[in-house]
Amino acid sequence: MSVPIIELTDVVKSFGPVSVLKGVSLRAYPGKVTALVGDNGAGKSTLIKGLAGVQPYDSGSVRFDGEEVSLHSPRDASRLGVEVVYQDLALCDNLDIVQNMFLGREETRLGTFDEGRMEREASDTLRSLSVRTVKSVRQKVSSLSGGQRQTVAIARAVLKKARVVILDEPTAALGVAQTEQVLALVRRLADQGVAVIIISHNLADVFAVADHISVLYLGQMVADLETRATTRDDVVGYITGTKTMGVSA
Amino acid sequence: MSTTRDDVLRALSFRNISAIYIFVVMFVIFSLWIPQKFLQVGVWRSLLDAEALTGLAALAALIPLIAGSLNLAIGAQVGFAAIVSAWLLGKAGLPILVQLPAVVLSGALIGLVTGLVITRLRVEPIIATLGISSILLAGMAWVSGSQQILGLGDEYKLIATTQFGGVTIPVYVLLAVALLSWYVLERTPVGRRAYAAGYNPEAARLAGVHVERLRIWTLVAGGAIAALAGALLTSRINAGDPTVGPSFLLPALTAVFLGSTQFRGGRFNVWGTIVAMYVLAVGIKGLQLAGSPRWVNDLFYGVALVLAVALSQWEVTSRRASAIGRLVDRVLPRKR
Repeated sequence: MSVPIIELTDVVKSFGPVSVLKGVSLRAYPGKVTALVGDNGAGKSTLIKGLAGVQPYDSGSVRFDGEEVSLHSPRDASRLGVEVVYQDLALCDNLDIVQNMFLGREETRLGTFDEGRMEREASDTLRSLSVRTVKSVRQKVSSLSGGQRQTVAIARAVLKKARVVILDEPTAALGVAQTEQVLALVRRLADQGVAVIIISHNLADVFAVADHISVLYLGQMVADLETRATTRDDVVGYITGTKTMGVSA
Repeated sequence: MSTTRDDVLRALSFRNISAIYIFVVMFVIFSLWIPQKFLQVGVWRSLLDAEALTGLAALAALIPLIAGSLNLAIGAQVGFAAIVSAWLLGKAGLPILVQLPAVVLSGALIGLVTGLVITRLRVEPIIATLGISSILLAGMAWVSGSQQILGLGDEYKLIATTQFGGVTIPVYVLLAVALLSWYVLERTPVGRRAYAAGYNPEAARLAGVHVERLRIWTLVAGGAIAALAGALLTSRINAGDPTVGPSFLLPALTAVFLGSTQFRGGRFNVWGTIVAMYVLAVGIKGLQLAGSPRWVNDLFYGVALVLAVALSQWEVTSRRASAIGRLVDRVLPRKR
């Protein structure tokens, strides 16, 4: 096993008297898809928000490329190359695909937009992910389907040269064919050397795409499994708390 | 890329340039109804001049609205600036070179306060600007004593009345402000982020856009433009009149909303706003020349505002589009 690009150790987070993360450890590897599963309230979102810098952890260490780093704002995360693709609030409907992908870091030349360059880079990125479902990069995002929107959101993270991409329920609202497309995209993303962390309630998706499965149960990491070496029943057992590994405390 | 039938159709569709069609219809009606009054160069020249201030007020409302702040205080902002302008000149006796920047600065300051109320105190823009509007109206009455402020001198009057090539200065000011606004809104990252912030603030924030700062700045810019309109208003009527400013609200907002249905497929935009504003003004002018009573103005703008917003929601234009389609078919081959 190679060196993890991201390594969380004994991460703790409480909201007042409620402790949500009780010493959680998580690793993600370049080129691998790590699934983060757990029931509602297990602490998945809190764990992710800490990685995104939105809600910093109370204590514990975050290592990036083996080096201790601090994540205290979304900007810190962005600088390290950690990008989060949120479920439904990722895109602006009134802008087109290129404008969305470059939102917040538009390319300019001589005081105006370098539209040619942005269009080219957007197309190249989509092509590198073998996306064929999008007709024109000048389409307004409002005209896209759920799967296409997810595709654009993921492509935006790639465009930012993200090294870690965190996907929050990327298939939650999608149909069968679109889910298939997005999962294939997730796989290609990992094949490009990106460390992918995917949050999902859908175990079929998890087994289809993930290399590792990490299970959170009531704020603790109860299992860290190789997808190949486990079964659905085992994972369900860990999620519901009927099964324990007895490793993390 | 070659121009296809579809592109032309889209460009000419009623949905895209309805204001132009409305203008044509109104022009034909009034030309047949009252040709002696309506078809006069003087009428059109005065229309261009008189409505330039409405255009500035509309742009002042447009810019914050793009970033998500509907400003109901635009009329009061114009009116307040008009009174401040007259007071600084007539009562405080400041020279124009000091007075004019001071007025614009005070407008920007009002915009800043509005922006802070909306972003820091978290008051909904509609409520915040309604409150600010009332405060400004009170301020106007206090400063002016609800009287016209007169005795501003002939020099100040020249600002709004001097002509170049038959067109008065306010028209050039409108053109300059419109060009600058268009450039910033459509051609720079700040403008694009403003559109994003207005539509989906959460997504914009996650993309690294400083949404609140942006909203404050759009209100500051709008405030400065509204103040400029107020200063020109006082120059134009050569008095500080506390009753004129507030009447800018409805025409300005109507133009902004009708403008959003023009050219850019439902997006608020500068040129749509300017075109819509003048088209509406032509309607009012025609009705006035035809001898309609004054209340028809309010009726016209009220109906137009509702229709404009309804139009912006309107998706299906099949019947009209197909009529235009047949026309276009003769010029351009159908794309298969």
